[in-house]
Amino acid sequence: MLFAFTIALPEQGGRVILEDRLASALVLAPGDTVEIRMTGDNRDATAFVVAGTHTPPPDPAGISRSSRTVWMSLPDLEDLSGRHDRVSRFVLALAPGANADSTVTALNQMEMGFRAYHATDVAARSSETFVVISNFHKAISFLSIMAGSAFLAAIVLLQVQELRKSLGVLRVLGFSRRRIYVSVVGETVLLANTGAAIGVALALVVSRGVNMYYRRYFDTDLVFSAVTGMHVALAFGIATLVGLLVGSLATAYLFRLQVNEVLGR
Amino acid sequence: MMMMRIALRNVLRHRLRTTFSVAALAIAVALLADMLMLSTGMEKTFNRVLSSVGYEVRVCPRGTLPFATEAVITESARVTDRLARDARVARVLRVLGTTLYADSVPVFAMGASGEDQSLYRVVEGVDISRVPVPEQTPLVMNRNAAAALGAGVGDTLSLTATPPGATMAFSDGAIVVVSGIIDIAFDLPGQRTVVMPLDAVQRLRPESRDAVSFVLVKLHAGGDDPLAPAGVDDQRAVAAGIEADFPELSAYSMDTLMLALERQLAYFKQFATILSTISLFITFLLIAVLLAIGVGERRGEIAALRSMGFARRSIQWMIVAESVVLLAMGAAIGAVLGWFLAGYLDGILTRSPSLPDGYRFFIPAPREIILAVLISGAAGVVAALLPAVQAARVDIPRTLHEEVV
Repeated sequence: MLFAFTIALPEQGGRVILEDRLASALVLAPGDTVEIRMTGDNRDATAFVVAGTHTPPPDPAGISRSSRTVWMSLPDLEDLSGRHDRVSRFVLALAPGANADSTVTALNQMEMGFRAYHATDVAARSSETFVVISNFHKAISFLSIMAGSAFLAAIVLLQVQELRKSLGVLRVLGFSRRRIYVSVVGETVLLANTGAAIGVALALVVSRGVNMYYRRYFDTDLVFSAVTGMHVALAFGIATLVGLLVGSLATAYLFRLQVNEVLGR
Repeated sequence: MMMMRIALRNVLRHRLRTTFSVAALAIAVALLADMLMLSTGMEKTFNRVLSSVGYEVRVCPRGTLPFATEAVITESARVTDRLARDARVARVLRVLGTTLYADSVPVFAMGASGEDQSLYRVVEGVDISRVPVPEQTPLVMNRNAAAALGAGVGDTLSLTATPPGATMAFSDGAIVVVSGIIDIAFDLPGQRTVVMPLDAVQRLRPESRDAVSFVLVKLHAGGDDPLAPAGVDDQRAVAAGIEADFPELSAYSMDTLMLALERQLAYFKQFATILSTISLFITFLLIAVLLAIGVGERRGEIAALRSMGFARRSIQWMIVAESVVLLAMGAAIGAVLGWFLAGYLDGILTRSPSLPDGYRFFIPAPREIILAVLISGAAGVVAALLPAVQAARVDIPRTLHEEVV
């Protein structure tokens, strides 16, 4: 992939700036000469001097792109490609105080076959794919929470049934329903939060592994997975809520039984 | 059979607990089925689109995929001449893609040159190659272009390489007549596509007159179906021959193109693998925990059965049968859930921009559902083995004594 630039270099023409990974792969350094030709072109290549290297900022939108970037002056690219007076886009830096929205509107009213965008609109459009993937992850997370909740409910009910004799004895001894409720619900909340704590620890390890793997896989510095404070709070919040619901359900089930039934008589 | 009946009774005895267990298992089975669908769905979509186009080999500028960049093959006639000498080649289609303007409306224009093309389907009017002695350049367009330009079959349009209205935009234009409306398998949503003869598009491009974006090659398949794909070996041999003769080009057989396309969506495949493993682990853990606690709870009952003469093996079968009953119920609900969930998840992902119309990530299929049920069943049975062994080892006198006292 070739990009053109129009900034003034000390010696215009025949000079290129290579993406650092490309320079590294081709074992090139500033001062070296490299021959470049257009992809699919069988004409002779043109020699350029490597003026420098640059590290492009991490860009999620270009993650699946395997091509690397070369910057050269616009006239050089025009000569190389045979396409003169054509550009892919203009990037405008407005004068201090200029209104970006009204400039975009004015440019689009010119109807010259191009479309002008505000920088924030471009960012929003290029992140649409990631919004979709994020929604997909949310749907999967919801299913995981549902499965985890059902799992917890089944285990708590098992546990309550196992402890029903002990709880029946407590009721015979005069323990109030409230105390038994607090005891059972406290246990389920504790169990759910223990699961959440293990889950968060596991998430931290997995997140580290995911970042290591995908950074190497896509050869990028992007952050693919991040466990934030909000995620941790969400995990414990959901665990507490699920623990409360499941504990309440289990005690409601227990209180429906007669004391004799609970004691197995 | 008797142990299966006892197992069924045991499972149904605790309805609330069983309901939650089955719900968790159903979600795990559904997730596994959906992840299997995700891992094969993209492959099926690519395969469907590539097969529907009807060409087995694609020749592109080196390192690129069709329409992935603006790079072109500069002297395409050399490639077609080389292919014409290959007895395995049935027909060739050269395609050049570019943006043209009808008034100020940009359209994606494809110039095509070749006989009996199968790149698109004419749904109204006639194809550009079927126009008898055209007085004006013929053009076919998709419905999006027809709607945007308000044009129909028989209408005349003026196309230019640069947008009108700009002072710098003085370039040769072309007057074209719409000969048909088409459907193209790989159109992007909302994309306005027109197809014209290759030489007409090349005249509008300022660079090399012989440039094309890619060349499609149909090989002789040897059957009655003209669109049936040729053997993979022939595809690879033709592709390898082109790459050897033209180092500046990449030639893809169907399988290598599939690999190149799938690499771009590797994330989803890996995601599917990871989530499948987690679903399977949840199934294993759920069955193992439920049965282990259940066996602990029913030690007295198991000891009583043993004292009545039930063999260790029968007790083991009973526990495994309980796992099978739970899994069967979970699988039945999970299969239905997975089927509908696949459509829902596919709906989320296909909202992604720049995806061709008809692209599917999840394709609901009985094969993946059955596979998910079988794999989950196997995991559940393995998970039941340890509790089953524990149950069979119950110390009868001691347990009975403890339970009675």
